[in-house]
Amino acid sequence: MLRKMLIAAGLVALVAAMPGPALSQFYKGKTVTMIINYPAGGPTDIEGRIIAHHLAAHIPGKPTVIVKNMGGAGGMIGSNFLGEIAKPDGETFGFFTWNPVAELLGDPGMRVRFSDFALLAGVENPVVVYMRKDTAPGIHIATDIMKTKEIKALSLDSHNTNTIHQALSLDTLGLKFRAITGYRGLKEVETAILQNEGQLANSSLPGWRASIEPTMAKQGIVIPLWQVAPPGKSGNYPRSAVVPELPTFEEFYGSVNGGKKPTGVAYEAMRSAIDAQTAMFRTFFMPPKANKEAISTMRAAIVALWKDKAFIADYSKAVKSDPVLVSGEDGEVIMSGLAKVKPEIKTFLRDYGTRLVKR
Amino acid sequence: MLESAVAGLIAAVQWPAVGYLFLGIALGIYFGAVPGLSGLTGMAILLPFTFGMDPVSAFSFLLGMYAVTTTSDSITAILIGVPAGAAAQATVLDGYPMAKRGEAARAFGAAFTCSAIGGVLGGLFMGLSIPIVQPLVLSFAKPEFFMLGLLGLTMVGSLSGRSVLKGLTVAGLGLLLSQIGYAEQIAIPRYWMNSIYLLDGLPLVPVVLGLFSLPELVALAVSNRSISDVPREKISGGSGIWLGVKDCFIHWWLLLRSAVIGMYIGILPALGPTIADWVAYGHAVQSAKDKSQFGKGDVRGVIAPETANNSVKGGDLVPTVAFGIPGSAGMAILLGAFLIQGLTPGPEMLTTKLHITFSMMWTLIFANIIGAVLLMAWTNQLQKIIFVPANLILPGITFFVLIGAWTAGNNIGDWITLLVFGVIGLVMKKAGWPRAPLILGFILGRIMENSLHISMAAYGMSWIFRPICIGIAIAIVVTLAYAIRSHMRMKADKTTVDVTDADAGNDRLSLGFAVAVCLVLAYAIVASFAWPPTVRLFPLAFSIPAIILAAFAVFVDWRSIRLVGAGAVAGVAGTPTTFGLGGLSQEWRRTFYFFGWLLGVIAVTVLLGQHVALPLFIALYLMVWGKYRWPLALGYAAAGLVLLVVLFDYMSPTTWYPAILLP
Repeated sequence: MLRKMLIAAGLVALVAAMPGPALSQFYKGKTVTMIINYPAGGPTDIEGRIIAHHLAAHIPGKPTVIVKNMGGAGGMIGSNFLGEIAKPDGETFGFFTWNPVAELLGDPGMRVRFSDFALLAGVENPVVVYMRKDTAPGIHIATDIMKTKEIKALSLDSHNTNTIHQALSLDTLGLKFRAITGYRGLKEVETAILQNEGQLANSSLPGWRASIEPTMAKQGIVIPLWQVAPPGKSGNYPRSAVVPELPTFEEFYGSVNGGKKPTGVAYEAMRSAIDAQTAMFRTFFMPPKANKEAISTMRAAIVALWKDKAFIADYSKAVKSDPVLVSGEDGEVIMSGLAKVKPEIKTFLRDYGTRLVKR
Repeated sequence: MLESAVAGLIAAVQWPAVGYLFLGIALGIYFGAVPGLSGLTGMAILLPFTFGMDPVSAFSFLLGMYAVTTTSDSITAILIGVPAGAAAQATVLDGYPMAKRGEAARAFGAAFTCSAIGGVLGGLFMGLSIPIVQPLVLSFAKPEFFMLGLLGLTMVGSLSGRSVLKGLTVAGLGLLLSQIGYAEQIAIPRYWMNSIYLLDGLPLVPVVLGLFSLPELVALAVSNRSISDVPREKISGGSGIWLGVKDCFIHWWLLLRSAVIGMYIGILPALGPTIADWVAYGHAVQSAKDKSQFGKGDVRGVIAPETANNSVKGGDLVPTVAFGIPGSAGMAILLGAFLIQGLTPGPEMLTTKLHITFSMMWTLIFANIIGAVLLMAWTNQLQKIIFVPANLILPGITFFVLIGAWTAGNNIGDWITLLVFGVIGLVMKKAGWPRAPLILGFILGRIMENSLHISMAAYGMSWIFRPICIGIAIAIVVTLAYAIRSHMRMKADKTTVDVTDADAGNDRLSLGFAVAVCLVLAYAIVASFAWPPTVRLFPLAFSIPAIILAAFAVFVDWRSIRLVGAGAVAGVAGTPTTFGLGGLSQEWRRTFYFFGWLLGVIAVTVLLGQHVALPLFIALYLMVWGKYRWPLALGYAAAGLVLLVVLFDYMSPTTWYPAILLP
């Protein structure tokens, strides 16, 4: 009996003395910095800070997580910092709103491509296209847009994903419109719609749920037209689970074109530009060649975070919908899709933004 | 409504909200007073702490902090000529000369009193106007913004002092500087010199610190006198404060007008305290009968911006709460608090949650009064700093100027910008060129270009005929006519010549500067032809008139030098100074030497980081330049290091330069 107890005690001591699994030690006593590539107070920042607030509890070793905003140049100041200056030691990661069009077409300011970063995870987010109801001859239901003679479609700068997909979807529908570009943020676009500077615009789902829906849709000023849903597993575009009440662009197209599916270069280019964005509206990245142990630890921590009810409650309160996580592995597949976009579509997209401003 | 106002008052004074209000005020004084931090930084840092709070406590905490930052940011602006935040920039123009005259206490008395009154009026305006303000906010779209920008530019006349020609030329230069970085309509970078740092444009804070603060630092270093030209024995602190308080009531009409300017700028989306500050200052100069003391320590130059930069916050809250449209950058962060609280700005805040809206009004009112009273009590202690010998205080001021510039973007480019604009500011000061119009052009440039581009795209030319645009156009014509008339009078009456921040300067230096501006504008025009028409339209639209004006300035300076040379108008044009270009005077040598020290700080930072460079600068400067003994130098440097760690590592984590030689 005594011998058994001694063996058991010895085993316990041995287990206690053994180093724990490597993962649990990696972040112990460390400070992890989360770089947010937009200024404090914006939607990216708010979501990032809620994540930072809850994330440490899910990282083995419970490191301190601090947030640093590095806004500017359309998010590229922060992404360049993560790519060029931050050490790949796993102690710095980025929570970014990225720009797939910049990744696709290149940008003079982009020093490190998003595909060179280590992708940890992404957050899915459909886009909602909405319109003023008092647009002539009157928009009572979404399909009334087909009766309009000319509309002014408001958006960010002419080469931004936000502008490109909106204009291409209107071209796919064969609608006459003027693209009014150059707004500095979606809040500015929202204000301009309220001021009737233009009639149509689009927003991320949090923007729609938290602001446009309560202040404009419920007041009868605007009406949602369609959602641009993320791609489904089988290559089609099912309604997003977080906004099941809205038809997808493909459904809307079918409803005004006798059930046909959208085709053509404009549609193909639109989907090339927007698919990666809706599939991963926000992204978690580590610097290129980041420590592998850190990558797997952080990927697991983010997955665990999404199972934390307290976090989901806080996050949902801010974005007014349940956030859908895309794992790092699935995200890599989405990212690799950008590399497969045909050269002629890239050329089309490159010219499209410039032509849009002129017409 | 009255019921909700009372309910809001009760909610605001209940525990724990009132506790958070006091905590917020204390933190706000701190965030406002330390150069490099600001209400914006405070908002960003404190926001996560509101996660677990009830809505009234959360807004008491955040707004209590935010309300007083523009009261305490005048401390360094007045005492050492360094605006602690962007909203205190115009206060420097007259506040610092008052301190130099030994009137820091009076400047404080005026600044704190009118800040409090402005803040209270702003709070009342917010509470009373929210239900009725919708048409006002919604009627100001992009065309009206462009016209407002134009109206703002007409203030160049009042900020130009003796030479409207030079004022207009530097306003053109300011507009050009605002064009650096991505164009507003197509993502084509302009004038970026292949530097990522410049892609997002030049940051405002290092530009202002360089233009206004570095030249003052150089003057202090070169002279080694205390900030105050008047000895301490001749100054009475207590009565000074009351003099300042009385000034606010003597100039009550200006105070009221400045408060209205602040509120009005506040309710316009995205225009915040920085613009209110300058516009109110410009208005004070423009509307004054006797302009002779502006730039030399006229208390009206403190009252106007300090009133407006507090009243603007009540205005800012209006579109934020009523429509979810942030009135300024700080309000954009406050919108985050709404989201965290699960509240929706808009109709809900005006109906079911009206008491929360009113609790914000009360918070603004209480915070402004309490903040001002607390600061007033410290005035006597604060003003002692202006009597300390320059070489003892200078390392501390330089430390804050460098940190203030660094926190703009945590980039070594911010320091280079600071130094470049320091040199430009020094040359402009010595050459007698006004600096304020440059900042005005710089601030307004982007807003005007963006608004013009969208106006043309959305409305064609028909925007010109929108009623408010016509109204502003009339205001512009009236302002210009008034400015021309008063300029003519000024020329006729030599005794009331307005010098604002410009003064009679060295003509040869002035000529050199005019030539440099011509060359820069010529480069800007040539470079713009590489871009599509929409991208080059705006830079060309002002660069061409600006280069004509600059060429005219070259001619005027050349003629002036020639006339002086011929002895024709000796004693009128050109001021003989020790800053002659022929042979380096001791003053110039010391100036170069000082800039050498600053370059040294940058070099050591690149090699060893700021935690070594800044304390090392403090210690070496005191021992080498100030001839102080090593125990003092060491203690001072250690204090600098502690400040760096406590304020900027611990309390508001800052990204430092990744030193090459350190792991």
